[in-house]
Amino acid sequence: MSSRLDNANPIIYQSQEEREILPEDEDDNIEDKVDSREVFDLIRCINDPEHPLTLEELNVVENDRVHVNNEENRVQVEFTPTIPHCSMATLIGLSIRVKLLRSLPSRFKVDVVITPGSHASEDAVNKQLADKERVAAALENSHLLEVVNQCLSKRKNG
Amino acid sequence: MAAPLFKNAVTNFVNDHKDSASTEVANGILKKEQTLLELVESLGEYLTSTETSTRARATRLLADVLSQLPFNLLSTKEAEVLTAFFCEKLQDHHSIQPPSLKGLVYLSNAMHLSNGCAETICRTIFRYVHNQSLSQSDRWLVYSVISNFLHNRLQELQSMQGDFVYGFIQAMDAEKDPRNLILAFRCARIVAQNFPISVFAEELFEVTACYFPIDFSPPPNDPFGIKKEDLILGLRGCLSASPKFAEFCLPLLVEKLTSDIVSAKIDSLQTLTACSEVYYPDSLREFQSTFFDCIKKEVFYSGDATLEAASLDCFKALVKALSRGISQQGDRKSLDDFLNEIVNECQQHFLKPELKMMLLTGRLVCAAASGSETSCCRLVHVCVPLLLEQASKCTLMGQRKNVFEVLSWFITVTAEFQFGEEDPNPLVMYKDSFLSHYILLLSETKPQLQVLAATCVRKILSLTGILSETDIDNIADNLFTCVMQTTVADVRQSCYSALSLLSSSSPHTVISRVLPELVSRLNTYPMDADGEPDTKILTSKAFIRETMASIASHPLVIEKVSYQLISHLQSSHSMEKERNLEELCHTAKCLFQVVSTGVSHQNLLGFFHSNLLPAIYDFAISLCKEYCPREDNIKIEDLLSSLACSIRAVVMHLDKIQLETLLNSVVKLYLDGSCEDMKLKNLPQTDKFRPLQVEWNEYSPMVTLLTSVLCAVPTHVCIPRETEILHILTQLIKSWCSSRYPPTALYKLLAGLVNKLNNEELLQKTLDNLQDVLNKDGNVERGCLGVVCHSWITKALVTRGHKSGREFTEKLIKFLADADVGKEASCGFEIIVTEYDDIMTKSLGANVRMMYKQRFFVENIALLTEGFQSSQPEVKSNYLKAVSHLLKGLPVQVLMTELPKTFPLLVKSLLCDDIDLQLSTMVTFSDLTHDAPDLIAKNIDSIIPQLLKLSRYEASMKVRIAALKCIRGLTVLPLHIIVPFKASIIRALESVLDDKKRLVRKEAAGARNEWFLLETAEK
Amino acid sequence: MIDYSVTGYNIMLEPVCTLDGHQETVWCVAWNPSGTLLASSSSDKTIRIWGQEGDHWVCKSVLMEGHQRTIRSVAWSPCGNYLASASFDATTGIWSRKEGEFECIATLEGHENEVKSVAWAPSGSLLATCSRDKSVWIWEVTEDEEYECASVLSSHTQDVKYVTWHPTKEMLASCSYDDTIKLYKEEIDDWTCCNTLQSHQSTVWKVCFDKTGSRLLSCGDDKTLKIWQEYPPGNPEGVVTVGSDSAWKCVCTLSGYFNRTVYNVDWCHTSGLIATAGGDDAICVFREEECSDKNQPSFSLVTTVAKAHLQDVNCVAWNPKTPGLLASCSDDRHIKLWQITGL
Repeated sequence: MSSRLDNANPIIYQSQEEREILPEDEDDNIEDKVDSREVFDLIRCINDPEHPLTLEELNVVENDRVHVNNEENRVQVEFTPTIPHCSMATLIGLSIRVKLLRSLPSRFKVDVVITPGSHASEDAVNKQLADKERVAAALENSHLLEVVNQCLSKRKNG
Repeated sequence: MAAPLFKNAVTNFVNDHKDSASTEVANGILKKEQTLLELVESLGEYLTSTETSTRARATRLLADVLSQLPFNLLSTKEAEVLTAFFCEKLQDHHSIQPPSLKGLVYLSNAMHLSNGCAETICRTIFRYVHNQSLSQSDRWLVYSVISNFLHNRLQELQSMQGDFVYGFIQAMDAEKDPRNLILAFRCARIVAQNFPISVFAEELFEVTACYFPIDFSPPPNDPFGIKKEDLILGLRGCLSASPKFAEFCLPLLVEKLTSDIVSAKIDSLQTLTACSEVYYPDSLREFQSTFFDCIKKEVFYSGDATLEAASLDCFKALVKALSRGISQQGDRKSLDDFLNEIVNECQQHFLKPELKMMLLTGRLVCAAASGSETSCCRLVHVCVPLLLEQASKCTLMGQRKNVFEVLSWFITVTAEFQFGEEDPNPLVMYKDSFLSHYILLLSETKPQLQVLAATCVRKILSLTGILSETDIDNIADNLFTCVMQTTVADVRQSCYSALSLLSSSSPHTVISRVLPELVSRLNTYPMDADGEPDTKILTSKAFIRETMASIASHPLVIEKVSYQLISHLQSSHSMEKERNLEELCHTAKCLFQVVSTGVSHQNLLGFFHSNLLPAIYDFAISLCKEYCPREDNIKIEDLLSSLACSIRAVVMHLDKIQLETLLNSVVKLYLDGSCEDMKLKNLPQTDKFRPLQVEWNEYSPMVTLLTSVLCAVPTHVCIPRETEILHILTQLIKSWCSSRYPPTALYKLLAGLVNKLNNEELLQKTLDNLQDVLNKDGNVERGCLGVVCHSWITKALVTRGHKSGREFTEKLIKFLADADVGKEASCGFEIIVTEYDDIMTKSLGANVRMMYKQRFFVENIALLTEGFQSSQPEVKSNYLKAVSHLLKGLPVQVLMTELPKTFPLLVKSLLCDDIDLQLSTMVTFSDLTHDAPDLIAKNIDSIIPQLLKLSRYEASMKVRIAALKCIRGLTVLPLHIIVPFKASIIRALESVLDDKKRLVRKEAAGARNEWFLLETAEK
Repeated sequence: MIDYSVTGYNIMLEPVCTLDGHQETVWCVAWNPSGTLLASSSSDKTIRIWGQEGDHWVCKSVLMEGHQRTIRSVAWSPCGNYLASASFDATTGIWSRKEGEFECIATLEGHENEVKSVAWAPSGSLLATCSRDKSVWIWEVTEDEEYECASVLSSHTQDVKYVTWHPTKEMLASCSYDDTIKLYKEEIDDWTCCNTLQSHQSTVWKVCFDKTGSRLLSCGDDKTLKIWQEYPPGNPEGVVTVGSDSAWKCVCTLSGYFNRTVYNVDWCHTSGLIATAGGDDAICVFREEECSDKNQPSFSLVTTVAKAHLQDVNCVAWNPKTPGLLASCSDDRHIKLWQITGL
């Protein structure tokens, strides 16, 4: 069984505390801009397809690798597979992309890419993830959709 | 000879197929008009008829009659005759078997059954009844006979030995019906446990094991209510019934453990757990490595919490079983091998504490350690030194956290065993190392590590015979230092918890080392440059008080701490002014915490009664004297309420004599302004103390401290001068209404007394007076305060279920239509259904009618609905609010029956432009989605558009968030109901994702994602 | 001061109307040959047919139940009586239009997975489809409206995004995720790839011919537009050719105008204008400069509508009859009609 996993015993990282709610967050008259922490909060709890751990716990996503420009409607997320030959890289990228598709206002242009230099097939994976037609088709594939949805579901064991 | 009536009944039954005739006959027998044997006689001609159907009918009549008779009715003789009769009938035509079996079921329950009958019956059934060709219900009769005999004639059946076992196996073979299986499994377990099954072990095993793992999903709306879990447990009871099954069962479990079906794996693990308790340790030996591999795999790689838990339980059970091998069979090797295997596998993972396997391995090893004392000691000695070494080496936060986490599990495991003098807790050897690590951690800067350390220290403190007095002193000092230095609430809480435990086991350490430190810090006020107390210092004072409250867990400490806190109240209030009120409030709250722990110690009540209560009153008087003339009354009321909590807690625990003296003193104090018994230093001289005077004065707020006594005494204790008190209070309503502050305290006291009043005459008089006061002056009734007072009195009456409640309620409903006071009246409904902890609770001895809230709702919902429909548009929302308040107090079952009527009102409430109403309605919706999905489902068409609209409600983000929560909540409803809305909801929420408020966006994203995930298999 | 430096012209693309109806992303818009009807296809698994009623554009029919998944593109037959639809469900649908009603008369199966594009040859007797399965299929339409596979072309090494026919000859062009454009023609009895055009740095999303068929226009993920010129054997410029096949050379690359993928481009056969649809939500219109050299042509941006749609623009199509009438569609579920003014 262990041989099935690319990386059976990965390093586990500490999760960040929940974002603190400030008084201005509860003031109806103040507009809150979308910032990198907000986007990070959307993706940090995505489950890894192999481990019962979140992408944050595996350090696949980090707050510092989420770039947001609220005015220009741009979001860029870099993710770092745990090992350079991780066969799940595309699936992880797809999960991040889908989560953001479902959660972010449609005005945002979202790019999900592998952290430069962290994966053997970086360019190929990035090209696939950027192809919206293939992403759309993937989400009509019920098997693949189920796998992605599993990554995006709340785990039973939290 | 049978009476004619009887004869008729028999003919009716047999010839005319009139089933009810059996009841007629049974009644005749019960009235002793006939005997059973006479019935048999009169049936003679039918029973010997050549027509099979007639014989069957006659047999059926006998069985039906029997089934209506008590089990003790039959004499031994009668039972014998009937046994012979039914056994003979079993051998007759097959269509006569079912009624015969029914008769036998009765006999198997009969109390006077002579020896030998059970055996005869069983043998006849085994020989002549081919169970597999009977219908389900008739097979059920066979199992019932067997089951009954197994329960009440076990010894007799045991004499049949193998014959019985064989017969039973034949009978239950190939059973398919879940109802029958439940019964058959129960029988099989008893057979396996009580009969010599050796020769038939495999057959008996096979006849049950063929169902493993249970694959059964009850049809929707199954009227029989059999759940898969029932069958699983029934079968598990069979498989684990006898150690003789081990050789067949264990290979089967290995096979199922390696399957891909999660439920099969869980079932296998739980079955193995059950079997481990029964099977001989040596039978497990052959499979122990295989089981270890399977369990390890699930714990390390499955990522499924249920599977992991089942694996760990099973692992523990296996270790426990192998440990039993040492005492039962002198086999030490099996356990040693097993533990070696575990150690070999796990050691490596403890060396890399930052990796995923660390915690999983920790859980695995600790499960094994909890198997037995032997395994616990062995694994502690191997793993703990290793972990302690890592603890010294590791520097990264994540590593250290993991190491200490696993170490803390080991502490928990050792606590499961009773270690004694001879075989001490294995952790004793490492205790110094443990302590030095933890003490170091307590002074860490990372709160997570500090919390972990304090938690571990608490666990170690709970172990017996580990720590020396010096250790405890050391721990106390360090916990104290940690509390004083940290600003993180979690850290403090975990230190408090440890200190509290330490205090209850070593009060003297706390009294000599911790308390003096606390007291000296509490009472010194370093000033900053401007001569003002530093705010930081004030915060740290609060921590000091909290610490004092937390260590008050032992009576000795409680007494000392409460004394210190009350003198702190007195001294600090005379020292400081305005800003100090909050500090006083906090002190009072801490005092309450201490008192509520203290009242459970009988020997402290005297101290509380004669020292603490007078001190509180004395302090309150001086407080009012000083502060109340000024504006700070809200804070004063807070403070007084906190003090009242302590008084109430004490009063609830006093005995009758203590109560009576207290009541006398307090009543005298409030009515006469004097009190010799209490020796109040601060009481003003010469009639100056008049808290219940008609004119509002500085002592008026002290009415709260009267409530805490009068409303907390049980009803059997008389309140002195009650009539006078009621009269005065009623008079106060009018005059205090015009005062600056809403005199809720007064209303509460009055309502509390009205609720408890036993004297109906006095009650009626008081109500009349109240009506008088509230009605006489037009202004009072119309005024909002009048309505509030009216609401409280209504609550008092409704809560006790008094007949006058009706009149008061109807009046309150009338107020809803009033443009001026309608809003207040709607809040009155909230007052009525809200539970307050200072008055009218069961524990305060109040008159609380069972389910008064339900009754109140049921009695008034029609009036409210009607009122809503007929009222002017501008006051309609008052009715909706009233209904919404009533719903909050209602249990689900009542909601269910009442809601269909109320639902349209709820939907209207969503439309109503009142934020509070919308919010509370949405809370109701959220609850209903969980509790009454059917109802929400039925109305989903009208709800969804409203909620979507509110999710964009410009004026309030709270409303938007609540609406989104409701929308998200809808996803728990049955799929076929909500799927049709999926696309439109997802589309509608798209724009909400761009809400200007982040908190709304978060909720919108959450809701939208949940709707996307609807059909995902495992949510 | 008059400044032509930005656009150089007073040409504007003015909105005419917005067509609402699709429930999800609209992928493709296509005009019928007479320019009276517009067909659109969407992820909502429907095709909508839009036409003019008085001054208004309205939805004339909704074609449902033809496909199980996203309909990626639609194409009209040259006679205007048939509509072909390419879907992610791996099939191609053929719809017949009789008395204004559409009926699905055939479902072409064969591709292994998503069909991305479909195109009718000018004769109407051939149909081409392409798919993520890397192949391009050519179908022959028989007399009795049967469709038979005439050839399977597997020249591309990746996902084929688009196919289109030469306006006059039986020549086919395709473009792909493998960054190339390929041209095919029939030789003796079978179809073969006669040219591979390489220059794009990433996926080529769309390729189309100009009115004469001697030029090709392509766009893609590398955020450029490219113009390709045909050089027949024996061309005066001396561009080397092989056998009887022409050579195609990239003579112009338009870059710097786009900051995200260019998903679609259309070359107007009446006005010669080029319109682009991009992932930056914008529509741009280019025109070849007068006296531009055929071998080194220059094109200039005449107008841009920056926020043409709320999300990615997926497709643009010039009306074949009304000069300057442009249709566009987007992820924002809308279709828009635009009119060029000031030409």
